[in-house]
Amino acid sequence: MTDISSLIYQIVIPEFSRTLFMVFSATAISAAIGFLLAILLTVSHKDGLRPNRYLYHALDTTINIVRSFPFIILIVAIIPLTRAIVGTSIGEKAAIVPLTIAGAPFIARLVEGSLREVDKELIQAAKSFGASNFQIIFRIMIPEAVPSIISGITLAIVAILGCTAMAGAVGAGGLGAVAITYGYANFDNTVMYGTVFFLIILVQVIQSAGNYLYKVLK
Amino acid sequence: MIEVTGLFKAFDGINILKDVDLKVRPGEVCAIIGPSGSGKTTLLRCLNYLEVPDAGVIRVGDFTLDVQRASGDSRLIRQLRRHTGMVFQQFNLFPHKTALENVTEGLIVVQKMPRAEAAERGMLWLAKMGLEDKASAYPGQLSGGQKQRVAIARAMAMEPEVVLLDEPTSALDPELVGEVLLALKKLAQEGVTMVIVTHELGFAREVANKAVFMDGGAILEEGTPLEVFGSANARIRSFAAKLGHSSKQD
Repeated sequence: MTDISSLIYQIVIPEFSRTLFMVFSATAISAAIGFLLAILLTVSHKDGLRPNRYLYHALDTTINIVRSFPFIILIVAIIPLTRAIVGTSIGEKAAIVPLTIAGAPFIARLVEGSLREVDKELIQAAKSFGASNFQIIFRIMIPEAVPSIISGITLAIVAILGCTAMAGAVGAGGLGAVAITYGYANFDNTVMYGTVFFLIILVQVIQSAGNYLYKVLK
Repeated sequence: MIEVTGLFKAFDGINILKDVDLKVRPGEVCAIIGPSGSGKTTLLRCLNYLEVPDAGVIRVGDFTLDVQRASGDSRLIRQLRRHTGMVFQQFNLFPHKTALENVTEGLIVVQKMPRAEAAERGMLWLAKMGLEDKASAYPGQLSGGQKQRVAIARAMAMEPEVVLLDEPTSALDPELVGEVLLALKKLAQEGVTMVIVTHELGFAREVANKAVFMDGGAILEEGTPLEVFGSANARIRSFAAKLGHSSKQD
């Protein structure tokens, strides 16, 4: 059995900051890429502002392919890419690459859904003023979709947090790695369940913050 | 002033508008009436390109757009839309914006007007619609009649050459129709040019200077409301009789 206080100060807290670093960097980059993809998908969709079958199908298929990879396989499959970008395939910085590649298409789908839910009648009203497609997207559709986008991003943060545990299993560090190496592999249930308990609290905090923002913005 | 000549529109090979010509002079109120499926809403929506016509020439004020030459030129289409205002049957207000923000949105986003100036003009139009005390209310807090008056203020604030109204009272509870018609009557008296698709024959008779009866994608009869409603055409007589009957029941 491990001494609880030294476990917390020497392992859980440093690894917790690694987890946070991975989750928030990956979410930020995924959200930026995901947003761009979502806008392209929405605009090029056959009912969109500027239908383009080829662009839509190319993006749609690519996103589906990337999303088909089980995350643990994705980490291994893109090791050469990760090395080319970060210089290493181990550690929390390296983990951001697969986390982003898995996160961006996920966020793209969520934001696409939110944008598509924006009432067609509002888009017509904006068109009737003479608004350009750019104005319609950035001044009408996105502001109208913000609450729903926030709840999508909250979902994505929790999903990415789950993925960091898998990344932890292949050398990324973080709380997931603690649960597996110090807990599961050491037959130390206190550490394993303790870490999971910590993760539960983290998810609660993220979800409550997301729900709160949603309520305020709605 | 709005004038359209030789307007054609087909959906999936079915002709909805067949060579429609229409001219509405400055300050005129033109009521478009006719049975459902006659193409009246499509005609109205073609005038500002919310439906893309197949052929025809649209002239609003000093701006002329030839459909066949303009197809796909989004700049020309936006210019046409800036000359026209639109009021929708379902109001189409932005639910997350207040009444005032709804009115100023187009001024700020499209016309790039400074916020303070837009707010001033927005308040002016809300006041004209009798809604100055509702400026900070959200559409969800307004009645149907109030929503439609906000929508009219929104269209008018852009100072369009002509306002297009697509059955502006059809989605309203009967007791709220009057306030919207009254607001429109006030605009007509101020000389606002309007094209209005409506089933309110009484309103058309009282306010419109011009009526157009559409059937099967073409204009069957046009003239003053009295001329059109009094037409000997059997199609118009049976239509007017049916509407007259149902409006007595309301």
